[in-house]
Amino acid sequence: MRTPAFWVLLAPVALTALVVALFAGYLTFLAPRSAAAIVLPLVAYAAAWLLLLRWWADPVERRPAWLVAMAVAWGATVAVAVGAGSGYLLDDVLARSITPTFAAQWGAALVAPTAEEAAKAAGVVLLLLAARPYFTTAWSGAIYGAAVGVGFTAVEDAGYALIAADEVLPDDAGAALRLAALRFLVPGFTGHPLFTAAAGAGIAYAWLRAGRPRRRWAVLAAAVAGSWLMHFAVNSPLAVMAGEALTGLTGSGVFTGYLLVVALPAVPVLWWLAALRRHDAGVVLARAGAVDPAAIRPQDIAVLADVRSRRRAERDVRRERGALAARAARRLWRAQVRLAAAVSRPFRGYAAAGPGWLAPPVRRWRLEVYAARQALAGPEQPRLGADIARQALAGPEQPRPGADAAPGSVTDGPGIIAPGRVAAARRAWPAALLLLLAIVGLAYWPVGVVAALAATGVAWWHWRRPGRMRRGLAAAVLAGWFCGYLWLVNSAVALLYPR
Amino acid sequence: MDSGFRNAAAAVAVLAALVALVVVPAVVGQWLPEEGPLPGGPRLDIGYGASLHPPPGARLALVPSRPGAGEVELRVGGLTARFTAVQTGDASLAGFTAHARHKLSRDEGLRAGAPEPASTDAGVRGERGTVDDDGGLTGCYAIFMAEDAGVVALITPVASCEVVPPPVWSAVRSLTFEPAGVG
Repeated sequence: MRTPAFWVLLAPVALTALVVALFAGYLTFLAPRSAAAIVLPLVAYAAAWLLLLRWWADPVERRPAWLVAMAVAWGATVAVAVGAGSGYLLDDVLARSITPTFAAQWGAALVAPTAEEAAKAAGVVLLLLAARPYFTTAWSGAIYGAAVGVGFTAVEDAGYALIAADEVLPDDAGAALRLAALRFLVPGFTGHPLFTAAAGAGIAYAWLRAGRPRRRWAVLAAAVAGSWLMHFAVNSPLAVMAGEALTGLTGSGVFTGYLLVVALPAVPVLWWLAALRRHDAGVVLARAGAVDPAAIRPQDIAVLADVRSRRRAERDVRRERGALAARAARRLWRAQVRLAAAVSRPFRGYAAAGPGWLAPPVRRWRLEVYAARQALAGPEQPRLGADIARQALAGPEQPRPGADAAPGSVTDGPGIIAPGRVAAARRAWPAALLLLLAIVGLAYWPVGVVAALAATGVAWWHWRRPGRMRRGLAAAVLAGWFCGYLWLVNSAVALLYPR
Repeated sequence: MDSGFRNAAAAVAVLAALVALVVVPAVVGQWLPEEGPLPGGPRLDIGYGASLHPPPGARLALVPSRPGAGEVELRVGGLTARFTAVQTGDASLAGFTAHARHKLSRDEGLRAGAPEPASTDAGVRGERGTVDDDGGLTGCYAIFMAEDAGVVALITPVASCEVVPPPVWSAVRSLTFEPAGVG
């Protein structure tokens, strides 16, 4: 598939790759030891992000490597070049039109989100134009958007680290590594991959969803605004002021206030992305189920739609039926997921499944599903998959196959049941107590943090079975993790920059 | 063909929007002033805890200056006085000054002459010296470091540090360094 947009996408990537390479070469010439010191950590950081996207964030679909590479390349080249150039000039306009003091304080917060997010989002739009059949759901936009963000952050962090290496002393590898480590940790998860994932999801949602144009535009606007706000929060002096304000609090670390401000816009965005991920995974599975209802049954979808659901179900199988049965179940689920991915992915430019026709990968994985079911069948385990899937469901509503299963068309989807859906709130006081402990832990770390994490861990262990996790408890668990992350960041910063 | 044309047109439109993102601010910036008044207050904050008392009549160069973020450029009496502040951490004065001189030469083509000791009114020790380039431009640099911050001052065009106008050199000597806050 070589659409005109593909070449329009490739040309600026190739051109700016040369510019970025020359600039990187110049910085490396100035600080060769520092460049050698940071290249491995940066590559590892980018690889960790891509693996996280591949294995955890994208539970069902398989993205073509060339398209992911194009996304990363756009972020690492054109987005960096346009973001830096436009950012410099916009900052200039800000300084000249208001004051340089205002530009010094607010320039990074106002200009960088505008220039950089626009450049990265343009990459997602071009990817959509170049490879539309590979964008099967709105979640596809999130994944490719995150890949753009990974490329961007790797090159940006490398640039900042090498500039820091030359700032005070010649080729100061320690300064380069400290800055790179700081930029990895802060803002951590709420960085460029998340910013562009949000924008990419909004773009794909508006582009792919059928009907309800007002809602599609509203979602796009909210996603882009969320992306801009998250970036604004990371760069804004408000976050720095919050950090300074909370430093006076007993036991509070340097970055506690900063990360609290950064987390504010990120939480609703992450919530939306998590819901979108589950919904769209269900849609992809339901589409494959429509092609062959015996291969992917409605009750299988809830287990398959999420990596955690599969792990949970596998643990249950292992506990109840033994390791062999767990391995067999894992084989079945893998085959079902690969079947769903094969159905959703175009085959040589054509839909992989049509009336009376199945692409070779679809046929292959369909056979594998049946073989895996056969392997599972036995006197003791005839309905193993159904038993486990029923345990994973919470509530009477059953998922239905998507109304329009044609590739390239995404409906609002069937009523997919998420295992995490809660029943009426009972025993809310443990959740409230845990949340309180977590908040107290923010002010009185590390003792409070350790206590909050320990209590959260105990509660999670007790209530970990599917369907029992309440929103309040989920919030307490997340707050506990956030506490632990704060402790890690503050400790790392104290280690990297001792005062 | 029609869908291919629309696909290409849409892609080109996206690229055009990116080009506009760069070109429009560049054009708008040309219509805006290059100099402006100094921020209010008796002292001018450079950044990282460093500040100075600006010379009378000085104006702020709006493009390179970012008071509070480490860069300030003053225009006074036909001279340009640029002050750059950085966080030096545990670097030594000798190491910092040597690298600063090297960067003046490498990045701006200014060769530094033999340094001589200098100090501010507050007693912060540093060095100063004359710089020149192949094009006939000469100037005076000064480097000071205290409280984990270093400032490099560059005054051009002057023949040597001895002939820097007193109000400008008073501004350099007025440099003070306060401990920086959360960074």
